[in-house]
Amino acid sequence: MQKFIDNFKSKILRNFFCAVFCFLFLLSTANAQNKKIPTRLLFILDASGSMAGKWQEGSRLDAAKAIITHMADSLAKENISFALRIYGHQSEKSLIDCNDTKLELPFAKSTAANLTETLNRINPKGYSPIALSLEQAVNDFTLTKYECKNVIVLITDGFENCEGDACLAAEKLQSAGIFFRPYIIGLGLNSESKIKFDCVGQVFEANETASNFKEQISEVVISTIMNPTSLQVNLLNEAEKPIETNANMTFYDHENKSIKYNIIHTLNASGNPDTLFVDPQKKYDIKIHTLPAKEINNIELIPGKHIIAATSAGQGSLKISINGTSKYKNLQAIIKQKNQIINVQNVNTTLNYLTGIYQIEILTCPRIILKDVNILQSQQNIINIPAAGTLQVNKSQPGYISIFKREQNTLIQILVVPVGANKQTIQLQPGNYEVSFRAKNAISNKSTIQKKFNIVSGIATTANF
Amino acid sequence: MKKNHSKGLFLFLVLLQCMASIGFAQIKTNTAVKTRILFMMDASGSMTNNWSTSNRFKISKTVIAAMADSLQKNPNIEMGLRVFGSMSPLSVHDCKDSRIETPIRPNNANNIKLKLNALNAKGITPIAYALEQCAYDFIGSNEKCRNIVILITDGIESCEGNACEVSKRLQQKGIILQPFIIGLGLSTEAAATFDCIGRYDDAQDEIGFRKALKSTMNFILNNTTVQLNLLDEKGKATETNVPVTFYDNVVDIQRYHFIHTLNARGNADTLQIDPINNYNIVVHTTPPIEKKNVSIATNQHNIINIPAAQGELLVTTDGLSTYKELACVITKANSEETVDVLTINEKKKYLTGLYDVEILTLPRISIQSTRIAQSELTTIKIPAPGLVTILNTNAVPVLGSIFKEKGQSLEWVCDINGNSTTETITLQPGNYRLVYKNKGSKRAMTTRDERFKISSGSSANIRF
Repeated sequence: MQKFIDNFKSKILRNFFCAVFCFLFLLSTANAQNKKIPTRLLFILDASGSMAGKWQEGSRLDAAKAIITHMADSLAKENISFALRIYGHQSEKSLIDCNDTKLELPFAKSTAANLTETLNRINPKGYSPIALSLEQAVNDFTLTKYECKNVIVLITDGFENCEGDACLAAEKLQSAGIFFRPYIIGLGLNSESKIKFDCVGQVFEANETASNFKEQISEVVISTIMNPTSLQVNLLNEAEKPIETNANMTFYDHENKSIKYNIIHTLNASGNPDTLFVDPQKKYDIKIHTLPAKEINNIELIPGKHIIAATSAGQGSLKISINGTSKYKNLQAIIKQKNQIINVQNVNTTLNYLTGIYQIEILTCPRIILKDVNILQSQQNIINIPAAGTLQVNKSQPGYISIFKREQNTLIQILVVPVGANKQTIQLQPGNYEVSFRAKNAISNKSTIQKKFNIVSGIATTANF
Repeated sequence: MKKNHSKGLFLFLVLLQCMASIGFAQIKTNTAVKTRILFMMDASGSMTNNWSTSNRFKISKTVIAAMADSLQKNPNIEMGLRVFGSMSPLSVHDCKDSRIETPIRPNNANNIKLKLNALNAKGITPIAYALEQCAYDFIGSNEKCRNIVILITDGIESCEGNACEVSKRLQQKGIILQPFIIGLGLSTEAAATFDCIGRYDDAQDEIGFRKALKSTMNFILNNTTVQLNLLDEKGKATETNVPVTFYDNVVDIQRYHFIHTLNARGNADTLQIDPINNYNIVVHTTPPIEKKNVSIATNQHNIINIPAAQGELLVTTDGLSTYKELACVITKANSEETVDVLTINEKKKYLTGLYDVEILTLPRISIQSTRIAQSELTTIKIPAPGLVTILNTNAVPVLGSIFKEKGQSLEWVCDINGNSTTETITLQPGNYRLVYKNKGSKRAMTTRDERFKISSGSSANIRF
């Protein structure tokens, strides 16, 4: 519990920083061309055993070194200082050293010559403590008196293989308000790792088939850093305010329809839809998993710009509850709109739906059908159904039993008890019922016995035949 | 000794009588229920007008008296007499001029005849009021009695009352069956006003009157039966064991209800039926069948054929592990209205035809146009589920949903309860993703995307 409270305190603190950060960030995106704020870039290089794998003529590590060298060269022209942290390069794999991460080249010593010297003595060896590297990176950026844009570029061929939580580490970095979302340069990442890295940062993949891969990737990454391309999805309530949130958004590649990202819509500390960083080279179709789902198709990002996509997604909530203790097992309600099933909601839960008219069918016995349930903006529609009563049917011999609901003069059959069962307990909504019984081997209609019952919430009734 | 002998004889006679009456009682219940007939006779001024061989009033008295005598022989009949228009002269325009002259009782013919003799025709024709009052005449009759009003009149309503409404109301309350009306020398227009009150029969002279009353009695008292055949797809009457309800067509109340039965010969068992009204017949198959406005020919064995071909449906799982209490929503193919909710692993009969089945697994399984065929068992097998257990070891509330990979797209399955430390969810086999983030996180890009695979009978764990 204490842990939770501490967590909570630190979260408030973080959120405060975050607010400051967001403000600065918004400023910086608004003035993307205005490069007054100095940028510092930390390379985190993967030198784990797998980096010995083949890349073109040499190893992946060779490719990574070439990329860093080329990028460092370009950064000098942009007046960006850099530093280099490496993991997995000190201990052999057999040692399973999950603390193997070290700042090899601090900002103060980052010259081209020092970089070459450092890279030359590195060989691929151990494990990938990515989370730990990200955590320690905080201290690699020395405190400055002036405002800085702090960027991390991770170059790797695979995901964390220590116990660390790289996503959480990345989240903490950003929440502190000091860092931008990391950039990841992938060298032959498998599809699973690629998805895992989405929560850490923006993934760029080096192209193994291109001879000029290092130039290509450097250009893309640096231009993204200098002119971040971003997207904001506004989910509008009925008053056209972008305050609806918390729905997952699946980003599909507009061209080949493959899944690119899953991002849960979030309001940032200022209460605005949080900025999203997705691959700017693609067009997207976004499916927003509200109930029912909404779509925004063919979103095109503009490099260096902040794009806003919007859709109306006014929501209210629906609570279906049953009075007293329900003896139904797993009672559900089918939520339909225009004859399509939108969802099956468990009774005694609350869920959000887009505003509008719904039809609800609660699978009590008999079913309760509500034709026009209106979900209004930001309001909770509460449906209370009465508790069931219990009917126990006892048979002294095998026979046919039907249970009818009596509505005025009409009998509606709601349940047929299996012929063989000699005892059955049934949950029924309060009301007037009739039970018909006829012995299995009877040979006359007149053998039918009909009994009338009044079922009351929470009360057990017995019918003996 | 002699005394003893006579005592013995007396006892023997009593016993014999008892046996006879028991036997009689049994015949009674087997053939017909008690019928209570109330003659409601017009004694308005116009009844004394010349008609046929004498005047309507005299003829009515004679005809009713004769009928009372002949009905008296039937022990299942009780009779009574109510008149209207007999107390106040025409000039008074007494709209409450009606009274029960002879309350309904067994062996009542003589009492009725005595009263008839003493009656005079004077006033107006308050039919609605008289009909309303007859509700009191039937008080004390039990549910099984057939309460019948026979209205004999030569005129139409002369007060404000609405006899149609009264008739319908009394029928709806189950107080009376549809009334019979015999009109004495009425014009066609006048006769038409009685159509909504009950079954109207016209008499233009004494002979016509006698005939009309006799045919009414035949209608009421003759032995009418119904054999309801539930037909399979070959048109054979093999379907059975489903409940059937006969509703009164006029007032929509339940008249007969029984579970359909084949007798010892394998034929649909015969039902004694009252031919007075038409019926709406509901066969409680799934979905139910309704046959409306079925008329019954009196004094005949009526055969009613209703197609009710059925087959069985079972939804079950492959393999050993299965669901408990899983609901399968059954709708008619291309229709939206729910026909039934079937529980997994339970067999149930449905009318033959095409159905859509929506199985409320996670995610749901939709099966379109499943055919239920005559006397066959249609089995829908769904894959056995697997489990995913989500362990939230961080003790930080999360916001998350499970999605199923369906081809290239993601389909929302359910939200997770991000507040609990352990949650187990039963899922169909397939590839899934858990998309989640810490509830408190203000950064959208901290969303995580965890893939997992579910196979039948196995379980997967996700820890965060």
